[in-house]
Amino acid sequence: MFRRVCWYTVWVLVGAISPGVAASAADGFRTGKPDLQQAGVLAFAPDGILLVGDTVGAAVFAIDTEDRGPEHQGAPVHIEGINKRIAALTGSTPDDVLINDLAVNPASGKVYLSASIGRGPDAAAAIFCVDHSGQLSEFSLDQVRYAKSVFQDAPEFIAGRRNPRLSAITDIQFLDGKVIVAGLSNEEFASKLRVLDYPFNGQQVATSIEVFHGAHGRLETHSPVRTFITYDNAVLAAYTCTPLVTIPLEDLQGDKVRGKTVAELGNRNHPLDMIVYRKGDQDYLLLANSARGVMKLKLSAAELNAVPPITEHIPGGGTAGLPFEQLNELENVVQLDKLDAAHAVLLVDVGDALDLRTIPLP
Amino acid sequence: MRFLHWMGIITLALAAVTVTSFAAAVADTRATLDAQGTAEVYIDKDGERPWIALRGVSIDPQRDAHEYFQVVVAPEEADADSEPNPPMLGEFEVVEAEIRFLPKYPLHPRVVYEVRLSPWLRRQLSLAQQSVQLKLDEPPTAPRGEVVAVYPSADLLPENLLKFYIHFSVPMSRGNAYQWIELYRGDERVSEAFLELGEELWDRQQQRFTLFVHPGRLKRGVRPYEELGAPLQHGQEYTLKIRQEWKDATGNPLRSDFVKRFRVGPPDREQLNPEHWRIETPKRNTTDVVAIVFDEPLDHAMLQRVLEVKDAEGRSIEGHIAIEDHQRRWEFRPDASWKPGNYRIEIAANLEDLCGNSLARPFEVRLQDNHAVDPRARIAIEFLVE
Repeated sequence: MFRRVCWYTVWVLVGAISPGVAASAADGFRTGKPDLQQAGVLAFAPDGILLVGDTVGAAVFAIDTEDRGPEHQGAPVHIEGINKRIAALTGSTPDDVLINDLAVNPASGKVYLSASIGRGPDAAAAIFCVDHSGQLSEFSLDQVRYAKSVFQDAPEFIAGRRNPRLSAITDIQFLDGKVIVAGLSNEEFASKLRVLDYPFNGQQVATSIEVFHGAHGRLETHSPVRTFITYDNAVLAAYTCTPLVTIPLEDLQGDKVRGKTVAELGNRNHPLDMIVYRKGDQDYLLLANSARGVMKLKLSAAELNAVPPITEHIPGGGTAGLPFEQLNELENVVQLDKLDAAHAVLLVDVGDALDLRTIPLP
Repeated sequence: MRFLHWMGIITLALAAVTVTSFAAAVADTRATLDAQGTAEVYIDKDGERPWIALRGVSIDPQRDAHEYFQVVVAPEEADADSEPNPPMLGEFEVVEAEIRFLPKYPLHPRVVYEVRLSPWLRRQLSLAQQSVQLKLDEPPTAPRGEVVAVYPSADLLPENLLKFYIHFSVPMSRGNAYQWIELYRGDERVSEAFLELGEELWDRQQQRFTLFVHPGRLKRGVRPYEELGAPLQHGQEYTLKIRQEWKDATGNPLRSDFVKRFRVGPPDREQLNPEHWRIETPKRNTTDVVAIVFDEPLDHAMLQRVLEVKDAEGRSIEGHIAIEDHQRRWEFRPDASWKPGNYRIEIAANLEDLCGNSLARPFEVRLQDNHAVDPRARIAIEFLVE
């Protein structure tokens, strides 16, 4: 008997076109019913294209809503107990309707919601739409124009057996012909931000995100991104371990990048969702989190560049980096998106139900 | 004439009473509409997906299938003042002498459905009743789900433990998992111990739940760690409790609470080192196991996924994996007998221990002595079958 340990590298194929995604058109779109297994996080690409993250199917779908405007300039939408309304449409109970995400089509101002009808592994994936009059309807997936990009994922050696590994898609954004996807594996602690070419062509680059910490930033760890936005050619990301970090988009080239910590969100919360908006001459960030009211932060490219990175904890609860304002009147916000130039739409947990509300941008 | 008129009213009233008594008692899978008992609505459960059908009425070829009735979720008494429920999503079709409503989403065993009869159908059948109620006749089942295992299975765990895997005997419900998981230090509840993700980390069958310890409380120098400390502390005793109220995919709670008691030892911040592992090789012409004995417990899920046995030509050997000795021992038993020759076990460099340290790197890398290698690499442990 002998034994020798040797290292070698097997590069994961990047850029291979996934099997089964043969496209019927040059842009990868085809018409039919997408095999969406779970309707998770949502974002809009231009021209009414709805991006849907499917954790169970390990894929992102681009679905043509054919909703290209005109832009809404009317009454704010408000639906009490929207989960009850969806239950009535689908013949289910409010408890068996899970609203997974919300996104506003910037072309029209209509609100789209992704939902699971049922809580078990065979729950149905569904998309709903709230129009300008506050009317809730199903966005039927039975016959739509869509494209699909399947993740080329971590090495899998158990050929022929069911692979229990999944990567929960925690957020998704569109920017300049790219779809950026954040995820967290249910096994290894990894921290990939995937950048997919859009229209989908099979090109996808996964970059490992690291964060500095410890005194004087001498330690770094993988840091899965919980939620993010793109701002001034950077990803502004809230991590599962709670710092707020900027990562230049040009650095998402594969391998790994180190984010710069620009704020600390505190120790008893989990970031949930965020948006960026402009009021007067000032940009702002709104961030919903599990513990407190929505946080508001002034944002400017100059400040993000100028603020020194937070490299160690400030003792005694002190703060460093960009200052936050707490909007305590906005409690229990679980999802938010910008409705128009002056309003945000929120999904609020009111205990026994979920309400869809519109507020003026603070 | 006057007599006949009254007779008509009495007949109608009787029909209404009959139907009302059906609805007001317990909604059933069928309801008779007319006094003769020929017209009825019912839930057909024989197919893959139940539907609602109307039969025993004359089909009018001039009318569309959706003009006979609508199906709505019956309002609960508490909702009496709110606006009426909209018609459910689905399609109507005429099949033989029936009008069928095929709901777009499956009928729910705990929902009462109201079949609203159209005015012209009520006129045709001389009904006063506007609607009847139906319900799937699903007998309640006893709770049968339980926690079958929690990994890591050892009762001594490192202070910087990164995650638990909770295995269930049946598919579970998604959406409020963290509500049912509690951690206690002695008798004291430890709050903010875990990473709570709305997406929740399940396998496809929803029988395995991954529970990460809050990474902010494991990373030195990050605010949650500095202000709250690690949830698990060296020298203390803990209980992880999975509450019985957690519902399975059918809506039933678990049969009982599950508790895992464990002690906590010192943190482990070392990268995995295969030089510290021991290999046990099999004999030729047997299906004995080849085994690796690790110097510490490794991640239960990854041990089943990221190791592969190959022969000298690089062909995969088919066989079965077993994880033993509290995740300190990996065994592979081939389907066919070993032939003499060289073999190797390929292992993905992202294989982790209990604390997120992998073959590629420790959980936290010190920048001054960075030994991290590409996590996409593999290592190979070679062995000889003599």
